[in-house]
Formats: sequence, C-alpha cells, structure tokens
Amino acid sequence: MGKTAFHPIVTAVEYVGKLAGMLATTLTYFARLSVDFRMTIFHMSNLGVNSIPITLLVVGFTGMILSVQVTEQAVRFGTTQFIGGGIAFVMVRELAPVLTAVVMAGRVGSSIASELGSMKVTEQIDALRSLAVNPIQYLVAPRMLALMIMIPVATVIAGLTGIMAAYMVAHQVYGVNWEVFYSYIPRLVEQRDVSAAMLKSGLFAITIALIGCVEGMHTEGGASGVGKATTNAVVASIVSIFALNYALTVLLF
Amino acid sequence: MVKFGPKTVLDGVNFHAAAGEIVTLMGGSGCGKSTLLRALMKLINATSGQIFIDGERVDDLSETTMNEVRKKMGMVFQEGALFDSMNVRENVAFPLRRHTRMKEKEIREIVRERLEAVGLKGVEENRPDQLSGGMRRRVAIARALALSPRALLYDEPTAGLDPLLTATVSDLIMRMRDRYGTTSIVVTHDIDAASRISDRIAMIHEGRILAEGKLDELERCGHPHIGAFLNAMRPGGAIGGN
Repeated sequence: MGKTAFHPIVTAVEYVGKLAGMLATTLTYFARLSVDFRMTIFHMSNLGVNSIPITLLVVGFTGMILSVQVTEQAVRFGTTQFIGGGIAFVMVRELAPVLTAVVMAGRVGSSIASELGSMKVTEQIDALRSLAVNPIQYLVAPRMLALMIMIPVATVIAGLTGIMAAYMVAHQVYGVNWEVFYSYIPRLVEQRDVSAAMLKSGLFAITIALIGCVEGMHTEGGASGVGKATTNAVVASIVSIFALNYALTVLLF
Repeated sequence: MVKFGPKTVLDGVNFHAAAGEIVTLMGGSGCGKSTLLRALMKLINATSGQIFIDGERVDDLSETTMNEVRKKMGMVFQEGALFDSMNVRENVAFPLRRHTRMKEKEIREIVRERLEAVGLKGVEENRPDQLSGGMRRRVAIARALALSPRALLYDEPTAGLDPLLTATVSDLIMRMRDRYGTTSIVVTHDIDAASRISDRIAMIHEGRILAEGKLDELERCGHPHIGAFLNAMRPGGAIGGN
C-alpha cells in the first residue's frame, strides 16, 4: 500500500537523479575539454543545421499571425509605431527561444532518444563500454555541446525571421512602412533581452539533450521500448521547456 | 553475488580461466551465464564478491580505471552489436582510433589483417545491415581483437546460426586462441560447439556452478540436472536437433 502511494515520487526522484548524474558527468568532460570535436561538428550539422528550416517556418508563420492580430488593432487605434517594437519585444523575449526549443524537442529530442534507444536495445552501448569507451563522453557530450551551440544560433535566425515575417504582413496587408515598423524596436528591445534569450535557449538545449539522452540510454524492452522512450523524451522535454521558461522569465525580467 | 532488485541471479560462483584456456559456460536460459560474462567485463556491478582480471581486482574499480582493464579484454555480443552508423572498416578500426595514435595506414593494415583472420575479405565498405548473421559475428570478433586483447568473452556466439556457420565460428574461436594466445570464455547452449572448442566446461544452474570439467567428465559426474540438461541438448534430445 505504502509502496504504491510513494511510487510516483520515488520514480520522479530517480529520474531527476539520472538527469543530474548525467549532467554532472557531461559537464566534467566539458571542463576537461575531453569532448570529441569531430563528432560535435557532425551533430551540429545533423541535429542543428538540418532543423533550422522547420524552425524558421514555425517561427515565421507565428510572426505573421502575430502581425495580423497586432497590426489590425494598432491601425484601428492609431498606434502603428508600436507594432514592430511590440512584436520584436515578444519575439526576442519569449517566442523565438520557446518555439525554437519546442521544435527542436520534437525533431532533435526524439531523434536522440530513438537513436540511443536503438543502440541500447541492440547492445551497442554495452559494446562501447566493452571497448573502453565511456558512452557519456562519446554519445552524450558531443550531442549536448552541439545543441548548446546550434539552438541559440537557430533562435537568433528564427527571431529575425519572425520579426521580418511580421513586417512583411504589416507592410503588404496594412501598408505599414519600415521606418514606422522599426521605430520602437531599439527602444523596447534591449541588449539584456537578447542576452536573456540566449541564456534561455542555451538552457533549453541542455534540457533537450539531457532528456533525450537519459531516455535513450535507459531504454528497455526492444522496439516498443524505443518508441516509448522517444515519446517520453518529446513530452518530458516540452513540459520541461515551458516550466523552465516560466521560472527563467520570473528570474530574468 | 549478483542481484537485480530482489532477484538473485548469481550466488556463490567460484570460477577461473587460465591464460590461453577456452572455458565454456553452459546452462539453461536465465541461469546467469551472460550475467557472469557481463560482471567479468563490469558492464554490471557484482552485488558482493571479488573479481580478478590478470591478477588485478576489478569489481571495486571506477569506470575510468576499469577502462584500462577493458583494453586488455574483448567481448563479442550475441548479435554482434556492431555500430550501425559505421561500416565494417570503421567498426573494426573504432578501438584503434579511440585508444592508439596509429596512422590511418597502420589502422587500415590492422583492420585488413583482423578481417582476414576471421575469414572476411571485401566487406570493408559494407554496413552491418548488409551482412548475414554469421558475418556480423565474425566482424564483431575482428573488432574485439583489434587491440590484441589477452582475453575474449563470447556471449552465445553461435546462437541462431546454421550448423555450417556454427562450425565456422567454433573453429574461429579456437584459431583466435592458437593465433593470438587469447584466453576465451564462451557462453553457449550448443553442446557440440562446447565439446569441440572447450578445454573446460562449467555448468551453471540457478546462479551457481554445479560442476566443471571436460564434457565426458560432466556426463559421468552423476548430477541429475547436468545429466538431464546434456541429454536434452543432444541431437535427438528434447531440445537438441540434427
């Protein structure tokens, strides 16, 4: 009876322990500069660069939708000078980092969990250990470093794309020109907003890599286990991103 | 002793293999053979007891220190466990690239020599999914041999193979001992393969070693479980085939 009641808490504590243990070990390899940089570059391309088009589409369309909603009201109330500043403010502080991270969690988190999960159930991770190679050093550290570089880069590109897409709609549909659109951007978006967005996206990158790797490397139960690990990785990453974003928003702004 | 949660998988196992010896671990499914192999490689931690490799106690070593011991050993997994993101050459070259400062030309030469030793030629560029089960296991043996280990652990190397391939892999295990002097510990269900390659067979049942010796010695030992197991595994027995 007691075991059943406490089981979810024990499971949650164990999961956090796995995440913390893997993070600590990975950071140790970072600190020793003992990361395979060739593999890191491979993952920057494979996981990062290849995810940028879908990220741009999602954030670009979000910018366009935001522009339709905001510009219509701004034209109605004669406050068109605030359109660009308002959209850029929201895009930089929240939408670009969060949407980029959510897209990455779906595409990259699932890819990491399924790849490492397949390696686990086919004994490839045990084979690595038997060949005197630490799986965290070889599999986790390059993926995490690659995402820590590529997700902030994707966030910057996505943010600019979102703002430009919003301007395109404001200009084409409502005739708002660039000078008016741009006028309040420098006043509303400060350097610290950009720094906070970079910090957020870096922490989201660690979250996605960590959860994907933990789910993958603890996969059990063959092909169905790989599917379960992949789903868990995406769900846990997305929930964690939103929870972490709330905490960071409160702390940073 | 090795326990998984409340379940005791190995208990009171006292086992050794001498240099250059081929020792086979036999027993029914789930009796703890593969667990013993994994405990020797420290892929799982023994709950209690002591494990010595080459005179060095390893059960209490850290992962980093154990890696130095693992460089002196090799393990061949049941399905090969080849890295499917790499081709055959990259698989065999992997430990050399990770642990030595050899030039690419030297690595290529060693890869060619190891593949030749396991009877494979012209498959260097193939991916693991383009190989048959027998070829995958031979590549796995070549990879395990890359760093010239002093001991090789084989986890069911002939499981699921036809009789011809079983004989090929069995011969290979003996050839690796003769050619490189490696100590071999082989987990298998295959009584023919075991009798052919083994200097000694250890029978495991319910996590304990019941008896050790040559096949005929085991047959004569009079233990009811060993007799039943060997009879069942013989051609024409309850489990054996022709």
